[in-house]
Amino acid sequence: MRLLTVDDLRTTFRTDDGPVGAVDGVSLSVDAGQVLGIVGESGCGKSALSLSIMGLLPKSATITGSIRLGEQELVGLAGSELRQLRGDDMAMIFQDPMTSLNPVMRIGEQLIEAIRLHQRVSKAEARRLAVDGLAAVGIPSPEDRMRAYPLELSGGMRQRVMIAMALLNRPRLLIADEPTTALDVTTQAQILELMRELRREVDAAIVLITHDLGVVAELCDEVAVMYAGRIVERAPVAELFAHPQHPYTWGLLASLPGRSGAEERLYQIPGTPPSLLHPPAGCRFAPRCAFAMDACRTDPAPLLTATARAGSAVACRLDQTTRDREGVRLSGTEAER
Amino acid sequence: MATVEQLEDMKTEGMVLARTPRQLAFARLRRDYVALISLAFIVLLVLFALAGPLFESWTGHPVNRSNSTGVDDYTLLPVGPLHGCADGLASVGERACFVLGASNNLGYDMLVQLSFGARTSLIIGIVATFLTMVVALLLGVIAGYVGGWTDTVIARLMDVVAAFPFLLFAIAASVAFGASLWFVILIIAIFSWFYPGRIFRGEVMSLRNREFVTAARMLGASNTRIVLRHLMPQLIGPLTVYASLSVAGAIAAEAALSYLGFGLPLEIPSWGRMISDAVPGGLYINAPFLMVFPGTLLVLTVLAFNLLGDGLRDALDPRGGTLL
Repeated sequence: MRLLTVDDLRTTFRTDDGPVGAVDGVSLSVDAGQVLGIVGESGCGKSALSLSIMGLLPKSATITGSIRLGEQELVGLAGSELRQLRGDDMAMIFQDPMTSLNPVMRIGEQLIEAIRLHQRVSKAEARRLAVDGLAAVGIPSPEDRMRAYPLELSGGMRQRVMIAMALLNRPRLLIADEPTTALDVTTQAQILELMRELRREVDAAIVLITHDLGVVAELCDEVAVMYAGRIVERAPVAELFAHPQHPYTWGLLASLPGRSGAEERLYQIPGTPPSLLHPPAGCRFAPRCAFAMDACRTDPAPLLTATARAGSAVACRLDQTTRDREGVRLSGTEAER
Repeated sequence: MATVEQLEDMKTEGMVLARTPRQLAFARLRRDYVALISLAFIVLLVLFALAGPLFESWTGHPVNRSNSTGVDDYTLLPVGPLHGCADGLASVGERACFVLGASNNLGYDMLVQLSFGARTSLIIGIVATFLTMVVALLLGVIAGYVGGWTDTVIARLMDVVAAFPFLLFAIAASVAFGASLWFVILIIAIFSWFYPGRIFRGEVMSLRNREFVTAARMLGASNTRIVLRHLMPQLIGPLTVYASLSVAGAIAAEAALSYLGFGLPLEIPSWGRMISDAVPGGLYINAPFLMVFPGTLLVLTVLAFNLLGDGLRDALDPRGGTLL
């Protein structure tokens, strides 16, 4: 069942220097029980996209296009209606668990508040649900933790609390914005393991935002690669790693450690991402692309179109043969090994 | 191998006790002798102020005496401490016996006046501070949270109030409206809210953009709920500090106004007026205690509230160390 449908979403921030189009015509969809990964480097619009879906953008931002949760259109919804959906039908996990919990409220109070905002239950019942929620994310002696302040918990524990809080009201859509980025490596593994378990248990559509392709490989069904506010490639996760179609994706894959030889320097895509204040006229990746033709720089970028590979779509002018050949060669994928 | 969680358990189970910010603040305050002495002084001052009627009946000198009591027979006023007390403290209660001396030509008993003056100072300090804090919280939090034009208007209003010359305005208004207890309280509150208001505004501005506020919004909390449940509790620290400092400021301001003769009406005892009463004709040269007693109490009171405020600020400062 299609749960989230985003259609031609444009999110523009008003700044002193002029409008910045952080999300520029993004379309995507996620089914219930499916995990969609959104990858891209810092500043490519991943977070702006997730905040747009949640309706958490600052006042300086405007949205056009369409975001549908199930059948309900979210763009243009009144604040109070959106507020009822947030935390109930859709929830979000933030990057840094150190700062996303209120430092002066006990864990229990925060969880109980989250429940009672959306469910008409007694304090005692809410407390029981909160304890269950903590237990479900693998927090030992949850009863005791209810009385703890965030500062008494480690980063990994806090992220577990955050995840528990997001799942309390059984949301249909869960957005995880770099849930492991701020954690150390061992904790990252634990949180990923937890997310993998939860994936099976909660029947929610999950949008996982990350810049870590390793996380994508472990958790996602489908991947959308974002560059400068646009989706440049979308594919089932196995396809993306086996037959990447977009030159930017090749660069991303090639820059993973362990792909090139151990002694070599890590690969780096030449150049820097464009300023979204004055984006390039044609394909936004053209200035950094080794395959760019004249048309790439001047004509409007092609839309996402289906490729010969099953379920995959790409926004690129290169022909299928070149994409298949160069993709395998440049990204050093499994096919080569 | 111990996991991070197990280590965390060991930590909370007694190896190093994690303390809440509040516990830490109290622990720090308990070691701050200056703040503790200030607090003790304030407690004594409150008792002293409450004891006013007791002093009245002990000395037999009511706080507001009319000529009919006969004390104005004393042509030699002012008189020094224990003047007219033939048997020392045993004579207290006799008409002519003044424990701490008597001030001005009407024969006000210094002890009784000081006690009721303390009452006045504390009432003004507390009520004016309460009003100040209500206005400061309301406008500061609204400006900081809403931002935009609302913030610009309120912030400029704060600048305007800050730029007003307080004494000049207060004296003019006192002449225009006539002085009363409420007048003094209001005029002090009107001229003090902007300072804590700015602090609260800044505090809320920085809190507003913290991730936990976005997280609360993510969970579907309304703005009112975020302000009341998530932001207000974080303002308790600065609120306590600036309330304490504001009490000191209000007491000093009242004394200044009353000293200049534009403060409280004559029937309300005031330390400021007691000091100014010692000035005409150079009374204080022969009877320095007329100025020294109320002056010292005033200085100590203002100092105590200021030092307590400083102590609270240090105790609530998150950079104040952990006291392991």
